[in-house]
Amino acid sequence: MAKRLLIVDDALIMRKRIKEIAQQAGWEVAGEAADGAEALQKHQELRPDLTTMDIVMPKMDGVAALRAVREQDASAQVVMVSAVDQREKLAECVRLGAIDFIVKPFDPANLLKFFEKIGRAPGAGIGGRQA
Amino acid sequence: MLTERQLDALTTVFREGAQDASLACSRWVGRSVEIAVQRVEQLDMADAVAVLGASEEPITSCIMAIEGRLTGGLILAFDDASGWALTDLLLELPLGSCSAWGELERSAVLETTNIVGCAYLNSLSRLLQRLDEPPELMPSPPQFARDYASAILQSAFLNQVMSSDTIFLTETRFHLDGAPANWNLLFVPDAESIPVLQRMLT
Amino acid sequence: MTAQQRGANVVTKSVLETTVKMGEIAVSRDDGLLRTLLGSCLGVVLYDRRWKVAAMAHIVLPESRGQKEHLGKFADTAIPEMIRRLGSLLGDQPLKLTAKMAGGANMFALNGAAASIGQQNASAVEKLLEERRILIVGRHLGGTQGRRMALDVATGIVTIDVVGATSTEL
Repeated sequence: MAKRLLIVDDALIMRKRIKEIAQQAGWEVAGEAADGAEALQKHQELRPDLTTMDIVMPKMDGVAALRAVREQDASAQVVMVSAVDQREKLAECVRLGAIDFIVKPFDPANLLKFFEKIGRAPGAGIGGRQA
Repeated sequence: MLTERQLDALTTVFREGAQDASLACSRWVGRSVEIAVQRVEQLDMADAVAVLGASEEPITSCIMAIEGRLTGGLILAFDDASGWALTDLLLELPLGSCSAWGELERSAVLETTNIVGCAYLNSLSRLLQRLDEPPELMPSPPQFARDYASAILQSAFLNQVMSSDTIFLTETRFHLDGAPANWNLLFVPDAESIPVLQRMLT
Repeated sequence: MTAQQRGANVVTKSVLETTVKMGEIAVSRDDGLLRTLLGSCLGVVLYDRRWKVAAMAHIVLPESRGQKEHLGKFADTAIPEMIRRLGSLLGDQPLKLTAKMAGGANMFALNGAAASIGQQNASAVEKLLEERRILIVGRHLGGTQGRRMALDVATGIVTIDVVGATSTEL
């Protein structure tokens, strides 16, 4: 059964790119969100196996959304995908429980490998979640 | 007011940011993007509003506000042809395909601004760190505006203009090989940030 | 009409067109165009229909706080300076002026002090004109877009262009 992904980014073109790569790696894209508030709502609704999270977004940024999602669901798996590449911001995301941090612009081949790796991780879903 | 020497020294300071921005843009677009012009300027406000051209034709621009030890605005500006060429490349379409500013096209230039702008800020952040200054520099989500160039710039200069008749800004012009793509990245710091930049030189 | 007679701080494109840059004032008479491009700035035109004399200012901020240079930059110095220059153009003839204003946009939905500058400029100018009993006969203010403003000195008609919209006449 395909693992389910929630893609969070305010740029349509970025959501499209991530979706194409994730699908290539065998993931099902369960949903998309364009800001942190929508991300929180969709995460609760969809219970994805993985969420990709942009940082710079309107209404609620990705770090705040990461914190809120993890507070709501301690087993939530979130990977940050952002052009902000500053040490303290990365450290903050790790502290808040992000499983990884992918800097934009990413190499599509590397993102593909990432999705394949996480997709192969044991369990019906990461953290024992039912797909 | 900054001296000629300070302006030259600041050009060097911002060079790394400009190079990182062009590198990030190259990776994002999948083609070599080079810096055609990189400079730091201090202009009378009436001349500063002409920095993106004195024409009365509208230009397209994406603007981000910056928060942190340095504040101000970052603008990526280009004419329609350059913007659509960028979008064609990002969407892997033949050059000449895009000809309107729909949601997908806008998202392409907005995300480009995000990527290029963040590369620039990431570089400035590392510099702040080396100088033992609080390094975090965060952009706001970029906004799209298609309008008269000098009208866009009037707003970008508003903060500086409240305390000065000259405008300080950095300008990086990018050129994309094989496409009509000429983009201009402007950094317009707030008045309060100019002394911070000066201290970076000492 | 020479550039000198039109007043200092003027860039003349041709004999008939004058662009008023940020913080500047230009005066003209009889014919030709006075034009400017506005974002948050305010374009003000003072016009005397009988004599066909006009002044245009590109105002940036409401208050000069005593600054004596760049008189066109501030509402409180621009209005008196426009009137003074029109007066010297006509010698001692009394002026009967009306005003038109455009601009004062809040582009990019800015926050903080900068957000309301456009509105502050408009309020400052309205007050100054009211004090001098100069009637405002046309306004095109606010919004989030830039404007191209052009005054036809022969007729007093002001044309406003906004990107993506048809021209408006004031």
